[in-house]
Amino acid sequence: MGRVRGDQTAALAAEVRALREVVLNINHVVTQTQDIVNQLNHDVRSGAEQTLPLFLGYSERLRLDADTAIGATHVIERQLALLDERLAATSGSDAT
Amino acid sequence: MLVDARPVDHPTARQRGIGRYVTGLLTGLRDIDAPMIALYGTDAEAEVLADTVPGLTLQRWSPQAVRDHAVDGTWYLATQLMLHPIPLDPIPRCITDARLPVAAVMYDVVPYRYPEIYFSDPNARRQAELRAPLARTVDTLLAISDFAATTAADELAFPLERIATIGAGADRRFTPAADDPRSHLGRVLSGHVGRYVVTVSGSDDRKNTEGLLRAWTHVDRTLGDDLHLVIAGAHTPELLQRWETWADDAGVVDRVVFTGALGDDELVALLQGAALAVMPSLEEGFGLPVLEAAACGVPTISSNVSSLPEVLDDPSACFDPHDPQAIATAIVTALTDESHRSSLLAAGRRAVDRWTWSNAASATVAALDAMGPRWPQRTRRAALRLAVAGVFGDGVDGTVSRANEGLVTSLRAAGSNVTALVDTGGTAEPTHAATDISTDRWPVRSVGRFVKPWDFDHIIGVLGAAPQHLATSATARTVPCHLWIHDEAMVGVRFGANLQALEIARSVIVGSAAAAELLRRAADRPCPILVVPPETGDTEFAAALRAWLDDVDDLDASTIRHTPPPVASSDP
Repeated sequence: MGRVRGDQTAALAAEVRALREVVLNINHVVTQTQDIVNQLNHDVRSGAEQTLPLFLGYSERLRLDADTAIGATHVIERQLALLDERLAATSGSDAT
Repeated sequence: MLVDARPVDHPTARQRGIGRYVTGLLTGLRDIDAPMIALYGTDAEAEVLADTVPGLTLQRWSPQAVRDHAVDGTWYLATQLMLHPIPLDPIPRCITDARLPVAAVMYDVVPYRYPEIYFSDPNARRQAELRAPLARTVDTLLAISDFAATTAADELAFPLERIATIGAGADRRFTPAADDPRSHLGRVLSGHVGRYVVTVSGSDDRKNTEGLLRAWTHVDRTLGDDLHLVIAGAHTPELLQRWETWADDAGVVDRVVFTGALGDDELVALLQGAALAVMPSLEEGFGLPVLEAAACGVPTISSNVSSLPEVLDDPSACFDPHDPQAIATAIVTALTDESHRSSLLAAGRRAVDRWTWSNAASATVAALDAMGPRWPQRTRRAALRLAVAGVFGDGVDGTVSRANEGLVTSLRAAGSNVTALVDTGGTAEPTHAATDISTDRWPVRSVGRFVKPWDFDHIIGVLGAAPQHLATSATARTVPCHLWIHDEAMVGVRFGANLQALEIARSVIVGSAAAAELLRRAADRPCPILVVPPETGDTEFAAALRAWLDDVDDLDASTIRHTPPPVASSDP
């Protein structure tokens, strides 16, 4: 079995930290999305005429938040695939 | 090399530097005969590519396209890593599946260096924060200047030794004038404009247009009453109003022209006809307008910061952009000192010879050859990617949802990569509660924006007669699917709403020969049909479907295959 070189371990640790940041980011975005949905629900129920501009603003924020959250999952998916590959390379087995 | 060609028709990027850069790099790679496939996502992108860079080998994005070329030594060239928003999918999953080494073009990291300007919107900041770890997953960055390389290394925490500078080039339209350029500028310049100094500018503060306007107040009128400063480019009405008011207050408004948006031919003619081109920008990734002006045979000067000194590579052609007096002195000298003008023209010619798309393409190939993958990895032939789109879970058309879960489970048990694209049947049920399919699952409505059709080799769109398949039906009308028609009643009576899906379907799966015949008559465009009796077990159906998917692209459109094959009648 091959051994992980010191610099590879350092790189993996940095990527794990980056991954944690991304997950925290998703938590933040999803929480914010939840808040917006609640406000949206309240505003729509209280009458569309006055709150139409708010509705449009909220929906735009939701769209951008969704973009961010999905982007985060793309990043995580790729990082996990590469971590799999690197771990498999160090153990001499095939990555899944 | 597989090159992501999608930015050439991106709604915003095609008009900006990134779209033009990708077009130029593709042209260079073609001209040096680099082994390359340009991957596009839509028919519109393919048309733009065929028009602007004829002679390319084009292929539509798909796992199969990547699989066909994923051998050791193949690279994927990501061209939109830095393009917003992040779900543009700069590194599609099939590239990661194939473990292809990735080289990404690094245009600039200007927003990271000035977060107070560019990241005032929290979403922009968050997406930029995500882009940094994504950038760190690539094997190498191909920077368009040394400045872009060093700043990217700093801002993205990317190892500088894995970054190569490949440069840029000017489009072939930018050449010295063959006829009188003023004949093309009737819409842009009025008759009282004689000689002019031109700058190509954007609305960004970093373009330093205001610094140039300040400098223009120091340029003596004795150089000629007809000498004008022409500021080319599309600017917001508010910004134009501000600049015009400022120029009026400074007493130079009669010597300044704002062109507004220009056509390609007008821009070239404007550069060709100028006495001098000035680029006072505070920060660029490369500085294409400097090179384009030089290519038009115009003496050109630029600021001495960021990447700009690299373009002309002549200190005498540069000035301090933070000092209006220094800009003015550089302008006056370049207009009045003939030997200096000759020197500037010579520097421009050297830059035009050095910065070509062929050279950028050669530098790209050389960098990839020299660097190799960043980590030990084996390029591999990734497994098929399948998706089953339809209803799942209890309470939503139970017959179809049970069949869908059986199909996904059986396909996975047989070793296929299967994504469940869940249609919640118009209910408010969250996707994650709708099914026991716990991994690799998306709402079917995410296809298009978040889940790209080219993520999959095959999408099986499952339709039943109950009115709960709306999202699946809508997806099948826009993305070519293999339609699995569950209920024979649909074929004769209720298929009308799905005819559009049938017209673009890759194939159809039905339960009886009679249904197959009815469909054949209903569709204007025939496609292969697989007939599998409804009593077929999940495992057998999954096996029949896999065999069908392996064959279907090679089948004649009139094919009707029966599984199992029909038994010949022994009746007399």
